[in-house]
Amino acid sequence: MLRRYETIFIVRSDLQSDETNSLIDRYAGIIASLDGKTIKVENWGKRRLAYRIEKMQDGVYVRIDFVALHKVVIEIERNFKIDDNVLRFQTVKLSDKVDMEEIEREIESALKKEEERKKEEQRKEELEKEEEVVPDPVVSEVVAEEPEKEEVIPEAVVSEVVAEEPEKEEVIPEAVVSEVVAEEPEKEGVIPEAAVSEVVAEEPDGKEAETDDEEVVQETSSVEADEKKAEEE
Amino acid sequence: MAYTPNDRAKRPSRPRPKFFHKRKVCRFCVDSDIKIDYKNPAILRGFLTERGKIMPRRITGTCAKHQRALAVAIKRARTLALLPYVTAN
Repeated sequence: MLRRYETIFIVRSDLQSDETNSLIDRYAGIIASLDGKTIKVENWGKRRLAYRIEKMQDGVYVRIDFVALHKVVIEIERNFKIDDNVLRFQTVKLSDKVDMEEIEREIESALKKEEERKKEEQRKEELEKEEEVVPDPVVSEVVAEEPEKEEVIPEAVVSEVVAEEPEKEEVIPEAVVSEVVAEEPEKEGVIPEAAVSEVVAEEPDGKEAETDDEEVVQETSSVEADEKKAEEE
Repeated sequence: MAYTPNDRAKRPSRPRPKFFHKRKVCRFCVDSDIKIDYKNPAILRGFLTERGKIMPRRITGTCAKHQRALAVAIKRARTLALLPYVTAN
């Protein structure tokens, strides 16, 4: 009695793709030689296994959908057991009764689908090639969009920078000055100048930083004031 | 002591259940588009615990019929290394 079965088996992933293909053809041939009908052969490709089988991390999954007698299943499973390249196999009975006309229709539709898929793949490849040539309009669009973004962002950025910068700039001079005063009075005049030129360019308050420690205190108070402003904002 | 209708109002009301739990419904009954298939581990994975055990019906709310089908599908998927038997750590 003919029944419909579905066999999934896992092939070692370290085989070459043509080797796995010839292996799949061999098992399809076994079904055909015993008067079975193959409806569909699916190659799922390389997949990660949920657990290791024979120390392999991944395997190539193959599904064969076929109509055959029970003895065909026994024969094909006997071959799976012998074959070292097959890590795992499982056959499931899909239905007990088989309508051969319907099956032939399915085989035809499966073949058609495969052809369509191949055509679509070709189309996609062609499209990709075209897209590679076309990109110019895309670039012009991007250029058109960017300036808008740039105009919007700076406002936010500037406000942030203004809030942050004074704190950092004023904190650093303190350290520099105090170190210089404590260790080397001779260099006092040298290093602060660099610091001054920077600070002057950015903030007039910074002038006071080079000369004396007392004025540093004033600065810290101004820092605190800035912080309060930032908090209020 | 005679019974008066007023006593009834004074009597403390029956204790109400503390938690309202939403009645769980079988996902496969509600949505017939989802088919229990051992070849689709993505759906089955939702019915496994972190450790890889099959979740009980009382937690998932699956109906008896579909729970049976689920269990078979999960076991088939396990032999094909689509789902784990156990998850370490």
